[in-house]
Amino acid sequence: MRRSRFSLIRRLIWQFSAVTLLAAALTTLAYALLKEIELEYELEDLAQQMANRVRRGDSRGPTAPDLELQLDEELQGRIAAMNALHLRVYEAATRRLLLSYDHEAGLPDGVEAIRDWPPGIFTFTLGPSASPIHEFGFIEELPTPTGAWVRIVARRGPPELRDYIYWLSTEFALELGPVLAVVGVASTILAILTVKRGFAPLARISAQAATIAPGQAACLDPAGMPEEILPLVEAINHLLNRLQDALAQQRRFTAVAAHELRTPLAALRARIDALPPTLPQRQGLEAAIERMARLVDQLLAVSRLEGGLVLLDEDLDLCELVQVVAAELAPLAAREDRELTLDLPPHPVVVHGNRDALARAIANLLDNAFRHTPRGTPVEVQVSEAGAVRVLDRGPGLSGHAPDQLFQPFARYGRQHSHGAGLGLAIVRDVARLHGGRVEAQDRPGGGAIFTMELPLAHR
Amino acid sequence: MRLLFVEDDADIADAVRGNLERSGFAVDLAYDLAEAIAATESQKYDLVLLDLGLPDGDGLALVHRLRRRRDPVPILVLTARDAVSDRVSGLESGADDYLVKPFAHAELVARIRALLRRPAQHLGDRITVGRLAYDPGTGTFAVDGQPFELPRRERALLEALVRRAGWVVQRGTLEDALWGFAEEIESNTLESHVSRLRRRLAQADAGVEIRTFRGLGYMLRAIGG
Repeated sequence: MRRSRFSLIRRLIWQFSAVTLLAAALTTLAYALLKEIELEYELEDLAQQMANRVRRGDSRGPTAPDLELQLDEELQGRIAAMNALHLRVYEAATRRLLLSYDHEAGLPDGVEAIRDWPPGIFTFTLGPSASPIHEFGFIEELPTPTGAWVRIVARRGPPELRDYIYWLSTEFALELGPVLAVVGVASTILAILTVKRGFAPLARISAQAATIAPGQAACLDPAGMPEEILPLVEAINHLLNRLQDALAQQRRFTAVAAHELRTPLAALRARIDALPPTLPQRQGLEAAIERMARLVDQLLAVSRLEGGLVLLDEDLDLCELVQVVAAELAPLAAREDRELTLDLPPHPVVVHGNRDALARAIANLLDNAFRHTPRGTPVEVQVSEAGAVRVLDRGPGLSGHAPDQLFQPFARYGRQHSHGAGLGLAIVRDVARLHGGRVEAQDRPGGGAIFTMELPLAHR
Repeated sequence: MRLLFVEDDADIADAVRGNLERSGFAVDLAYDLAEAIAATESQKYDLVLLDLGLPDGDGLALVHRLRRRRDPVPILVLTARDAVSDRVSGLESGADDYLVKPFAHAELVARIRALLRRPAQHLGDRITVGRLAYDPGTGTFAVDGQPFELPRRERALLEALVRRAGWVVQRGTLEDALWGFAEEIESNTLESHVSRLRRRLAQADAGVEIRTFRGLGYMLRAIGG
């Protein structure tokens, strides 16, 4: 499965930045186009104004009086304001030049429009031999108050990059830029705050969930949760409830099973105790009862482990635990004429876990050594400061068995001595795993086996 | 000594009662919570043996009831539940001791006697290990009926061992027994006292041995036992 992790806030920041930049780019483009349109309007208006100011001059000849164009100051100012403008006004019928204005003098007459596309950009030919040039401009024939028409040709030269740069530095930086920046920054901050506030309850219930021990009745507090997250919290609470029900059922089952299995054993044991001590069958009966009781113990231990009923709820000193367990098994060691020695560090070795489960695991390791080695051979228990419990014997060793195989349920080896249920080492393995540790078996130099349970030390 | 045994399983109730009667106790049986409550209200018992899983309720309810009435009768819980949490809740509710089924009769009697706080000799008991006998009433030892004299520190050591015969007695406990004489203990004192005691026991042919469990303590047991 591909693991995709992302931060909402980082994602928001770059999305907002991208949107702001895109908006700036689009607005720049729109403004640039608007600028062209504005210039075109201005030119059209100028042409109209000029056409309106065309008059009949004083009649000097016998035929028709001449047309005249006088520009007032306002119009002259407007024409001057249009940078780099070349302007010609002709009488349409006679092609007589009425007005010529050159920002930079020297434009020849006879300019003709060939094409008007895109709007406002004209292709001009300057004289018969010249190649066409594309320029921003205006060509139109307009009626005048005299009844005659004038032809107005205006060129403003090509739109140049510096026009846009100038516009950007003024229009954008001074007017649009600040607005965009404020809106962009403000909305980014708002989005971050909303995300943070929206997810704050999530951090709270995460902390709450981390403190819930398995089997503990608990649910997550949905107070102050945004609607969008509420279904998740409710689903988790539902799940927690079902888990608690399952655990409670498991606990009831284990309790009932313990009662149902141990009570008849207790009755049987009491009956055997009532037999005369000299009765030869008594020992065999007692041994059988003990074996049954052991099997029941181990089965219940497995049931608790697998049912999730073993809670890691205590800081324990492994040295003390090993001493308690070894003291319980010392009478057995004495009966079998074994030397049982403990090799413990001088300081407590503290692990976090379950006392019952760890005591059972240690007892099972010792029990395993007793069962699979001949009477009279020594058994040694070592506790290391790193949290390992090691049981060393002088028996036949692993006799070629794979270490992993020995910890499988019902994997019995060295059958001749074994009366175990085959669950002992599997329980050791499960207990170690439950505590975040591991088990190991190896041959011991000089003969025998070493079984190790390694546990992580408790955090201090 | 009159005991009340609260147990719903007739088979176990009958068998355990027989054993207890042979050990010199008078035993009344109650098969459920209601009978047990009625019995404790009409009769004064020296001790209550209580099974927790009863047909009409949890045996701990009886413990609560007795303790609310400030009845100090010792209560020994006999149960199939063996988790530490069960033990703790049993003891917290006011029970005095806890024994998990199945149990050996000898263990049951030992627990009952401990709870009755009766010195063992009142019940006619001396402790014998091998040919060694100990009278807790007088604090004296005998081998084959002959008085077995010991220096006081070795006697203190042997007392501590014989009281837990068959079980490991931790070093600390033995050192405490020696410390009782308020004398300074050198590092090897315990070992040297133990080895002297071993020699004396062997000379007297007491039929017992003191086993060393290195890192743990010592155990007194009958040779070949």
